[in-house]
Amino acid sequence: MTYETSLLLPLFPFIPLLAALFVAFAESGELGRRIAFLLGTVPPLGLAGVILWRLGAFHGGPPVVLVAWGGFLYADVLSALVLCGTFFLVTVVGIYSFPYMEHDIEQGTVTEGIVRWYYFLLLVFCVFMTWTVTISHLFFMFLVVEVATIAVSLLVATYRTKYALIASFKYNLLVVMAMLFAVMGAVFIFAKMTATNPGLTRIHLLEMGRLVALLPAPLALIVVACFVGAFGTKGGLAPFHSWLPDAHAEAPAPISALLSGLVITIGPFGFARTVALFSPRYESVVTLVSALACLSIVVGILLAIVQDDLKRLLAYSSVSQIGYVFGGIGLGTYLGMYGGLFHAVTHLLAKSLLFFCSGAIIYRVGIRKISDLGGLSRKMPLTAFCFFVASLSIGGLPLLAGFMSKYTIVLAMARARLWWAMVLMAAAGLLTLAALVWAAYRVFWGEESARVAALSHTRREMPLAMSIPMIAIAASVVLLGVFPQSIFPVLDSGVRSLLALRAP
Amino acid sequence: MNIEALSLVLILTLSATFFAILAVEARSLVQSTYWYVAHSCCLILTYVTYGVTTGNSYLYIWAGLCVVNTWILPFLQGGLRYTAKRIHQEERLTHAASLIFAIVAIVSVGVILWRSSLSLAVAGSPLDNLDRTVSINLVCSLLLFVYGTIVLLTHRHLFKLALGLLIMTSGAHLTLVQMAPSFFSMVEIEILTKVMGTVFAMLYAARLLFERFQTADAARLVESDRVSVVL
Repeated sequence: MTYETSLLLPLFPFIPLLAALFVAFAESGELGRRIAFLLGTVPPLGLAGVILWRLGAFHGGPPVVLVAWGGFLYADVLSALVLCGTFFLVTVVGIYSFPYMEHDIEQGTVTEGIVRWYYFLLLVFCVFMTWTVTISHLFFMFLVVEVATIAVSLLVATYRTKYALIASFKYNLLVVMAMLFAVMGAVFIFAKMTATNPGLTRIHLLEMGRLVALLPAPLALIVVACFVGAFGTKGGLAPFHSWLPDAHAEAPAPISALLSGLVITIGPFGFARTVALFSPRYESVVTLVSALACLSIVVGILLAIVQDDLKRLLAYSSVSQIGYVFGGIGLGTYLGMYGGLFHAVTHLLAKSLLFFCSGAIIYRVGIRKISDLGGLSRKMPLTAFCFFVASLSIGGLPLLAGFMSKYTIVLAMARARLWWAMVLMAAAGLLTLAALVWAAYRVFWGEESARVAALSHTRREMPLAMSIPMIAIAASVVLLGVFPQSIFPVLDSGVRSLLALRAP
Repeated sequence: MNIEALSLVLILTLSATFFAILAVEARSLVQSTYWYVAHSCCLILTYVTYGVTTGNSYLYIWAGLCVVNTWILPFLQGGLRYTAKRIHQEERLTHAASLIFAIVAIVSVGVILWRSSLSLAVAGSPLDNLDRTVSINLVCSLLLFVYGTIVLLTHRHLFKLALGLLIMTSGAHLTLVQMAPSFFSMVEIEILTKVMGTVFAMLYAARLLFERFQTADAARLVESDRVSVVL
């Protein structure tokens, strides 16, 4: 592994931070706020692309790690990939939110002040999300995850309703509680290492592979249990998922997209940095993670099927899909990790698209109860098309993004001779397809409800700022399905950088 | 460390656990705050004891930070006592957390005694030779962490949940001190993992909910809706 110094890396958080301060304190109008928001997210997206290029993600070669501030900040391909995902999704969420939140102001569900606060929190989330994936100091990472969690919990509480406040509280509580388990795991590693190496001052994530190799077996398994609980909760893996459906259902639709597409990805990210390092040494870790992943996949989709609330259905589907990501990464093999990362990307696209569709329905019809919807396809054809494409992708239909990622994970399970997991994952994939397509049918092609019949034919389906992000994501889902090899160089570099962290 | 210091640490750790239980079980939330402060005093004395016996001066700074965190922050606007005075505890009081904790403590001590032995003084690091000898102090601090977790899983009152989180943090910090008392980046870890931001955010949400719905009990908040639907 080659280490190179980067001057760009420390810059990242300061761009959204400045924009956040502008949004919060400058006496600007709506337009000024929107421009400031985009200036805080679009340039860092470009910078993340530059970093990916500098890391050699597009042209292969040995793994490179960029470091800054004496190793306090780092970025390998995985970090750069998450950075790209963060700034892409937050930009899209912001653009989608411009008309969506304006509509909420008109409806009286939020005030002007709350919307200003909303954009401020989105930018603050970007700042701390950036630090989460670039800070190498494990305990410092805990602090930034905590602050990012507070920002997200406040976003979940945007509507200030009883259930939104409870969901926000629950999210904050459970995630921080889980992170305390990660602290406990780190404390065990730390205490063991300081006993043998008194010169050790902090745990660097890039050195975790070496430290893991030195841990005795019983202690290693306790540490794994702590990390699985911690990152499993953060990622919404069953049985640690109880915060997820409430938070997704009560948050504004763009925030639900952010939660499902990005926030839960921190779980697998932490998992790849910690638990996956134990997998090659302990077979029991692989079995445990695969079992939990299968539990999440099956429980998630079974609970999704019985939901009548569209957003809750999508939330439970996220519990199921994140199981695939955890299962792939937890295997610790090249193929498993590749599939896990690939599925994280395809899920980010497809699930955020589904939540944007649910937002469009709420925007137009004002309800999200599936049994009260029906026959929407004639009034909302674009939403129907996007919802259908995203559902088929998550269901794993060929020629759409989700197919190849799921197929890779199932193949990795077969290679690892975990036949039971392979069968469960494949069967749950069919159930997912059935559940989402059935929901799409009931919402868009089912019998037209009175509420839908009352909608005007002449009114535009949704503003352009909402439809453009949806069309762009739907196009990416199709393109990634038809040309899955286009993302191969980046994911390949990402997996190789993860494998390089392991002790020889 | 000599046996006297270790005994003192054991007494302080047990007292910290006892006061944590009282903080959770107290009927009045203001009383809970004071029991929590008493719990923190035990932690401060533990850090000072370790500081004196190991010569690690960073532990005094840690104890100082603990004083700020537990004697000043709870009394500030938005802190524990501030919130406790503005929301009251409903009559429903569950002892499930303490009961489950008692069972967990008895079972875990039993398992340890069955597999190895408990000792006050352990040669080398407490993590070495776990299959033969386990440090009593280490078990006690781990049990404090477990108690915090149980409180979070069994209680529904938002104030008590915030307390549970603080108790968990105390358990994690105490465990670190027990395992690596001579380590010098302790203060850094204490600051980074104190979760004060989260606790303040949670207390704010609890106050907001109480102001609007006259209860800070999550179960009652949900029940009130079901009742109105039935009516």
